[in-house]
Amino acid sequence: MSECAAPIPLASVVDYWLGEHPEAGELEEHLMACATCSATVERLAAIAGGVRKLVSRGRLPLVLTPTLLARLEEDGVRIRHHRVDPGGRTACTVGPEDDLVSVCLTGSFRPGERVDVMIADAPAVSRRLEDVPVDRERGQIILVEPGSTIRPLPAHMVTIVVRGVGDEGERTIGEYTLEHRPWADGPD
Amino acid sequence: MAEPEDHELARRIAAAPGDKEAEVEIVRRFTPRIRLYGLRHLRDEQAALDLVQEVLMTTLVALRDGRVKDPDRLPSFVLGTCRLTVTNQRRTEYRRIRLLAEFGHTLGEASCDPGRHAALDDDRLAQCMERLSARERAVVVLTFYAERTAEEIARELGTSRGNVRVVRHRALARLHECLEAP
Repeated sequence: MSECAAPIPLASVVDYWLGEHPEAGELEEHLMACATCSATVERLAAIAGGVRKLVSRGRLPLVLTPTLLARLEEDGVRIRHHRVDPGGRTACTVGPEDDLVSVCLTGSFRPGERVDVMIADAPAVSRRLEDVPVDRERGQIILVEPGSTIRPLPAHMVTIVVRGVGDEGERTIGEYTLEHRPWADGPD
Repeated sequence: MAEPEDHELARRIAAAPGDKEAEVEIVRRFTPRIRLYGLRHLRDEQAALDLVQEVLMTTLVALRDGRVKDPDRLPSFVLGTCRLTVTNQRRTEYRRIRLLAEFGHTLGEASCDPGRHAALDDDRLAQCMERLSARERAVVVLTFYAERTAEEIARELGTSRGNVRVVRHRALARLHECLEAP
């Protein structure tokens, strides 16, 4: 079999797979004749299927939109919800059956401002999530963690700082405290 | 020794309809490609596998009967058959059973798992997903889990369609690279 002389760029393969390629018919002619390029599509299809599986099993930490959160629940993913306002604190836990734990951080977000989230699991090292998706209309960020990640953790405090980054520099949008307790200590 | 081209296999089958080796090779080569066509258009694994069976049987019959006029364009013939089959909802179960009886052995002999290249290790994919930024991950999930278009994702994230496409392409390129890494 001949090697592919003109492999289809990944970007075009993605557009084709998602039904957004303007010349899908021509691409299909090439794909049906080309083992190299069809293998690229096959890998993309596998990623698509794998992502669906991981999400539906609550395996990924995510920053979500409210509609996606609602969709997950419609699909039967079990989610324990928490909500914190700026300067506030909340007790949180994860039940034995929970697939995901969500924390909704409210705040006042400016248009065009990049939003970063810094999470400190004392005494562990903190991490910074840059440019997270924000629901500006409702004024909230939704963080989601797999239940399986949180379940083994002992009681501890988590501090979250949300920062806005714009032309005028950085500002703190809110600080939030989560008091985690294992389920065995009793539900919140 | 170099593997024969598709058209060489097609000619062998037309010349000697009992050429099992050529038929098995055609099945091996086209099974994954037809499955992908099916997944792309039907979005259902079982329906895609049914399409594979239908299209391969039609193709083999046509090759045996010498009805593929231009063997150099065998992939086009297969693609046309895919399109026709997906569009045509008038397939009868009787015909499927009859053809299965005739070609079931050949399809089995190729022992081609259509998804053999597709198996991804869940843990590896999860690790690679976690290496993406929060925004990239959200776009990938909205794309493949929620099956949103770039336009819809843009509205949901309060950004432009162009920006979503850039983030999506970058994320998928990074995923490919991460999954290919040793």
